[in-house]
Amino acid sequence: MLDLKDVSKKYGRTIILNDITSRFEPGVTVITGPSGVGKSTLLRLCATVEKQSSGVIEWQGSPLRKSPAFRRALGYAPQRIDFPEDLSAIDFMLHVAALKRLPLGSAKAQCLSILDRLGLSRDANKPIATWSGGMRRRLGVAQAFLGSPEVLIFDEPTAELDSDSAQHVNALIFEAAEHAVVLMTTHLESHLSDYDYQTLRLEPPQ
Amino acid sequence: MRDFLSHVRLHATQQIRRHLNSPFVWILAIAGPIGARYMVPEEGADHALISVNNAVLEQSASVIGLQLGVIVAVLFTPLAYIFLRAGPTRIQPRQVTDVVPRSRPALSFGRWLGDTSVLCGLLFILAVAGIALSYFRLPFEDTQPIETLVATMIVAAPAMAVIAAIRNIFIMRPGLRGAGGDVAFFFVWLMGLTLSAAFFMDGTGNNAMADLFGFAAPLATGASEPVHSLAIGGAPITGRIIEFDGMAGVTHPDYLGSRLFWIMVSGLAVFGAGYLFKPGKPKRVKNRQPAHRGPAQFSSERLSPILPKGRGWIVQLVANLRELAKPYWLLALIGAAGFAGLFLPLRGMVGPALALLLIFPMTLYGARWREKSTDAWLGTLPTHTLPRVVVRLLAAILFAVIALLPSILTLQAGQWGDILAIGMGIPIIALGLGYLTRGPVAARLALLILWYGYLNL
Repeated sequence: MLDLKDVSKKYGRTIILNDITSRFEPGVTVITGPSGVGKSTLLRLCATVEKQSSGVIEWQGSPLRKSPAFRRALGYAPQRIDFPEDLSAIDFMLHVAALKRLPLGSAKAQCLSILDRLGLSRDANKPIATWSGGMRRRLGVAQAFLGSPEVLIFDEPTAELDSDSAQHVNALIFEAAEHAVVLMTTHLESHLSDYDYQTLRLEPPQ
Repeated sequence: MRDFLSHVRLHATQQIRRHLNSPFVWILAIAGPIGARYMVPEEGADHALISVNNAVLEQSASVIGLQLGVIVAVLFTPLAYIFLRAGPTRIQPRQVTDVVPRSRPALSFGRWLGDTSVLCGLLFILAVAGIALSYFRLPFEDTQPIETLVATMIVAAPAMAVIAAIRNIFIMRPGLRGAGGDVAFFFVWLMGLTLSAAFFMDGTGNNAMADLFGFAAPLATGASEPVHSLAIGGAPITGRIIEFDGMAGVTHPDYLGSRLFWIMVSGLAVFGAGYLFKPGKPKRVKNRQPAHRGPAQFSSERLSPILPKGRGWIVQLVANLRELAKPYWLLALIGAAGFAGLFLPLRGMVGPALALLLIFPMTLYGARWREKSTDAWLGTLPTHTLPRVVVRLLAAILFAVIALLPSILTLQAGQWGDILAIGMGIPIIALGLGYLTRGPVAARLALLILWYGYLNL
């Protein structure tokens, strides 16, 4: 489980997050709140992209560090990835699988399986440059599932997606959440009405 | 007309602001003066960067300025191109600018003015450093700040305008925005240098108009004897000093006319290029079958868990080799060139062909995964940066060595240098410069220049 204890984040004198304490267990936690309140910042702290200004974040009872052990357990889909446009989606996925140290034999099968779940397998061998915005968004989400992570962090995974695609993305996220801690932000909470999930609402610091 | 001028001013100031907002300009502004003392070695130094008839030039205020100007016009023009092509203004919001109804000539002319102003500003700083240098190198009574400044600026400023023009002309055509433009620049640069130098040797001609980069005419006309050889970059030391009037060539009316001519040609060409503007997708997307449109087909099969295992460097090596092996047509060409090594000589034939073919995929490969916004995300993956880069380099070396294998099998004595240069030199430069600059341009241009040297061995 992932524990946040009195976590704060400041940029200069501006306080973005102030004394956040929360415990995330397997299942989905949707982080909500008005724009600019620090939802993405909180996800970046949990993904070790940034370091908190004060407080502690713990994974399995130990302080979260940029350790390979936590990184092996993590799947992170930021809001934006600048894909290498000349690569095909399958080459991109295989490269990420390699960086996640997945065994060669099964990596390709898992890449194809995830792409298939997200409706991307038809175009897996085409350069990403030819893909639409929605396909790229799903590809960004797809790479996070590689290696069956125990912690999955998604920043707006269904933005730019049509309703059908969003439903399939959510279905995969909630399937993974049966065994993983999932943190996500979304502006389309109405798409989650069929699922059980927790909510962490962030308010602007006083 | 007023509308046109206000557009030009807008684009020029925007371009200058973008340059000034980036640290690159300030780094260059500091590096220039530091480098100036190495560009103009002291009299009696064990090396020289410029020689005429195998003799170093007698130092004077104007010669210091002339030397700085010539070195910038000859050796630093590729760097100026890289700065414009890969520097702070490389990202243009083309999705917006391609469709707005505004004057393309004003846009290209304004950007050219902005780029030229910034390059000339950097040149001015270098010239001021040259003035400071003259106070250390010359007796006080021989220092002439104006001469040093004028010589540097007159020689190199038009060359900067030409470089800025080439860059802004190339932006207008899709085929020249990427690697095609880099190759075209390389040939223009090489042709400009070769023609200028050839035209002024042994008094066969004295038309300053032919001197595109402006280095040959002042060096050929300022010497006290007929000029039959020029060396710029690495000059042999014979101990001889030649009497030289730095201002004679620089202020010659023909030369001044030629500088003005090339500035005007640059401006007019950039203006005209505005009419040749063609929007378009990046070249790599063109002619490719687009992705399927319409409703996607989703599977509902549950994912099987796969866990990380071992260090995974073999998987990384394979993934990196897959990246290098595409496109397949280029792989086939590299394979054919490599195979020819079984029956053709490496030096002068297989080596240059293979090197040229490797430069393009290697430089793209070297800059891939280096987009700034990707760094943070890549940092969350279990493989750290250093092992990732090392495996990428190993894959590149392995790829090049496989291509060289037939040549290695039939290698003649004394050609291991060629194998090392192609098998290791190209990957190291491509990845090193690609990593540092986050783009393929600097590595591509550096490797093309080195390739030309190798071709002429």
